[in-house]
Amino acid sequence: MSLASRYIYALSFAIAAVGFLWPFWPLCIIGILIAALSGRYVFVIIMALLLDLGSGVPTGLLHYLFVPFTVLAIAASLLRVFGGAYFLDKTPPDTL
Amino acid sequence: MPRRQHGRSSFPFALGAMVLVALVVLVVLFRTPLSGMFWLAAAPVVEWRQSLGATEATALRAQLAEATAALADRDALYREVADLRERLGRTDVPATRILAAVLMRPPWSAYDTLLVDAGSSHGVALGDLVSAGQSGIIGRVSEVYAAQARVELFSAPGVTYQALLNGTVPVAVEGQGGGSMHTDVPAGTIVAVGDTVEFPGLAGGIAAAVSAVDAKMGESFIGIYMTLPANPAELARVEILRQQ
Repeated sequence: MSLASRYIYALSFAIAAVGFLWPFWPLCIIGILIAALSGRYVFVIIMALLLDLGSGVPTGLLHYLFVPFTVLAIAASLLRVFGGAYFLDKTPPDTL
Repeated sequence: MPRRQHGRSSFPFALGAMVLVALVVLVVLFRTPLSGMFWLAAAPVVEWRQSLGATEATALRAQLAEATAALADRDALYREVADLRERLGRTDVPATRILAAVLMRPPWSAYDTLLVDAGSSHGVALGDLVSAGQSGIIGRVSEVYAAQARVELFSAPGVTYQALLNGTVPVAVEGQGGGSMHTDVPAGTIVAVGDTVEFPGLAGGIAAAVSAVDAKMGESFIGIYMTLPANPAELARVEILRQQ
């Protein structure tokens, strides 16, 4: 595991945990987005499932999502998988 | 065109995706027991988090919330009692109430009295009981003017009245001024801080609450100190129970 990965895992988990304990749910979303958009799919979905277990079944319109944090994590992960290729160029040209 | 770079093998990716989907399905299907397990593990952390914000203000807010809930419960019981009295044909018991604003209150008025803005023109009569709200009785009308009346609180110095401690033990309560009262009961009487002193009868009402108990070894009597059901210095409105 690279140092960057360690930082991303720790940072995203810490942000989500603070958002859960504070409680201030936007921080949970930020934590999930950081982990998902940086490509830590397994980690983010497990973390989102834990957040959903802790937060309980949502009310109102979110009730239909049932596990909104997990849905967000999956959506962000899919965005990263299918959209990342258009934004993250892994073979930068040497010359313009 | 962007070129996707897959990992070393697509098999672990597919396996991982299947495991994740299974995990999500598992959580969806067994949410309740899994939530229970989660909170079993997370409870110490959440309690620690709660202890970080446990200040005197938060404790007082919690007490206020409890008192508000208890007050709502009491109001519901009061309505239920009134309803039962009505069903049992005792509608004559609760007197007509006249709402009055407090013009002067201790310490601005002397001798633990209140001056209220309802008088004989409103139907107030000498001797009417005065309530601080619902069943809390605080005094009696001692002087009546055309548009005002003076209320002598039960805590006024020298005022004595007969009442029942906890609804059973007869006591002679004597006012001491400043919203406090005193009485003596025989040693061995079961009494504790917070007990109530009530007027006898169905329409009795609470006249005082025990604030301190002075029990000395070897003495024949226990000294009991009481306060009015409401702080007279903070009263804004009272209800005069018109005798019919």
